[in-house]
Amino acid sequence: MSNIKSNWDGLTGLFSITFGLAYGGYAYSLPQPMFGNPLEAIFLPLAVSGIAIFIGILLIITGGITPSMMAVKALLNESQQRKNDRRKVAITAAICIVYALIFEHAGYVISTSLFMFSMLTVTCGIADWKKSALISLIFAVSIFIAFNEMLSVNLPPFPFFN
Amino acid sequence: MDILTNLMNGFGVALQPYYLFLILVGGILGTVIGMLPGLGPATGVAILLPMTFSMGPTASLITMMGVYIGAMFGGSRSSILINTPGDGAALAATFDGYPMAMKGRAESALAISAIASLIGGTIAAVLMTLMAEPVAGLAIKFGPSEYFLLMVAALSMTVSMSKGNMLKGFLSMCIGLAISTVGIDGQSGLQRFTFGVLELQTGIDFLVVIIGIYALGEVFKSFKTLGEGSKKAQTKFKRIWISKEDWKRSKWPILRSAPVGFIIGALPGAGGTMASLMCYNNEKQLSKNKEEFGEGAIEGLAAPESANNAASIGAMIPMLSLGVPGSGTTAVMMGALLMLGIQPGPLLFAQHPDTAWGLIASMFVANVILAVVNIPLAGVLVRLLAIPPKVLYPIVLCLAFVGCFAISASVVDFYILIILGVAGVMMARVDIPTSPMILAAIVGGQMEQSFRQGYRISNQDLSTFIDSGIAQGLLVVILLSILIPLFNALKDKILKKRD
Repeated sequence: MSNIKSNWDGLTGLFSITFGLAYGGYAYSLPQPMFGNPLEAIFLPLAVSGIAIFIGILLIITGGITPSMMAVKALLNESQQRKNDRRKVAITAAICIVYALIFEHAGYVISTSLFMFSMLTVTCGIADWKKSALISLIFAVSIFIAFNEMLSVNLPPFPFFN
Repeated sequence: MDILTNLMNGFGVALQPYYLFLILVGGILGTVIGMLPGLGPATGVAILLPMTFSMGPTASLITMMGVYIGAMFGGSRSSILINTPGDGAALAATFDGYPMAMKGRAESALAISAIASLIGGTIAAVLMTLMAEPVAGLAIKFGPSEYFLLMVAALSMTVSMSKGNMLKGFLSMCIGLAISTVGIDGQSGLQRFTFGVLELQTGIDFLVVIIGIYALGEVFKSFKTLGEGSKKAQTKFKRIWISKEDWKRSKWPILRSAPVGFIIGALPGAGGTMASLMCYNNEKQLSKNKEEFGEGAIEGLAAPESANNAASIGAMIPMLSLGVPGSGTTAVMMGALLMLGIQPGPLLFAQHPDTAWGLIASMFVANVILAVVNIPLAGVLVRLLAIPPKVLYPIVLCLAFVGCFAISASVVDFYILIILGVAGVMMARVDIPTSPMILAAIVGGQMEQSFRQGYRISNQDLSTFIDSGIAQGLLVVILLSILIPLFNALKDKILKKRD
């Protein structure tokens, strides 16, 4: 047991099989096209599904499940620092989702200022909040002007002004 | 002679003041982005892409070329001064560049890095000039079957580069192909994998895939080094130049590494990292002073610097001549061209000679301009290394989102971007390479259409995929690209058992 090195191959293999089955199953259940060879539109999806399942089986055979379990255990027992890093990724992803939700409603400048401020708080902490707020506002306004006026890319305007 | 005339016409375009200005601005921005740890040329070109939206195709490509070459020049600044490569291609520059700086020879290291990059890039641009049109001429003979096999070859080569992870490379390719099938099928009108979301009917833009994996993914991955803060770099220098002795030791490594780098760069999936590491090892093998490598041998810096710049130009060959991107950066450039209504590939040289030859000429010009910028202004540019990543990464995220919105004007792509960013982190965690996924997402749609066209034209006879000489050649490439790594892995296993 002590000679076994941990790796993710087995679990990756399981993922590959699940992905192949789900993707292939969904492709097979798609409605048939109105014209042409009914199978043509799902040739590639079925081939991809087959390859993914085959690769998954090979990964499980070559990697085994035990080393993957060891890798999961090692992940759970990682240092507090690493766990904090993962938490930061999760918080960032959540902030990104909120940004996507408010982007069109609040307009570019407001949503981006809030997003940038939140991100700077995650990375720099709350102590420098005045500096973070200033950087966020200046950045959002500059990008808005640069894109709207100089690059002709229309970003969502302010919600109350046109 | 035709090539020379075309190249002169290209210089006529690239040397216009407007294009020179774009190369300069793109080059400086690229150098700055390339210097910042974790942000390579692909991320640089991707986040600066919206800057080119209001330009014409020629100006857009020339600007991106400036950014690309600038990032390659800039990548090694941080390797030499703070032992942190800007991207993978600059990794080899840490081996001897940083020890040189530690021994008080930062000026020589910065100078030889820029000179080697200039010479390597120029040799590669000459090779590009000679090869681009003949390769495009060959590609004109390709029918749908050959195109299908060409893309399979590009994918299999990229997968085979996933050293030690070939199976995971195949899985990554499958995910990329699955992404490419989202949207309305162009030939049958069938909606595939749209899950009732209107915005998915047009498919997932591969630029969104690239920005998600490179920009968001890289920022997410960088959280683990966030607490370390920025390292202090030397900012005051004496005259940045090399001695005669340095040049004597460096000239042959530079000249040898450029063609090797160019060839490796032209292989889909190989890229600057492999080119620079391979040339570093080659020089170490050839050197009489092997023991100096890793301790500040100037050859150990000159060779990889020449190779990685040459590789960046080599990667343009498949994109311009065949319409298949050779690297992440060229994929973004190809996406920008498609958005501007220009199809890269064999007809590019016939239909848009100004764009094609202007771009090739801009490779020569950009190398010269960037060498001029990077040698005397090194002291000014490296001050940017003092920007803490804590401030830098939120800016990159914002630029990634605004770039994504500029591409599609749809917030749905934001969610795709976030999913791909998180996927990038998870894939890195379980050692699944991302390059096959990105390439598959780019070529998947065209590959499928080519297969179906070939299949229909031949009255559903599969032998069309093995009939022509070109098809047979490509099949051999596909088989070799899969069998050689398998053979090597088997050999390693047997040798390990013997030991």
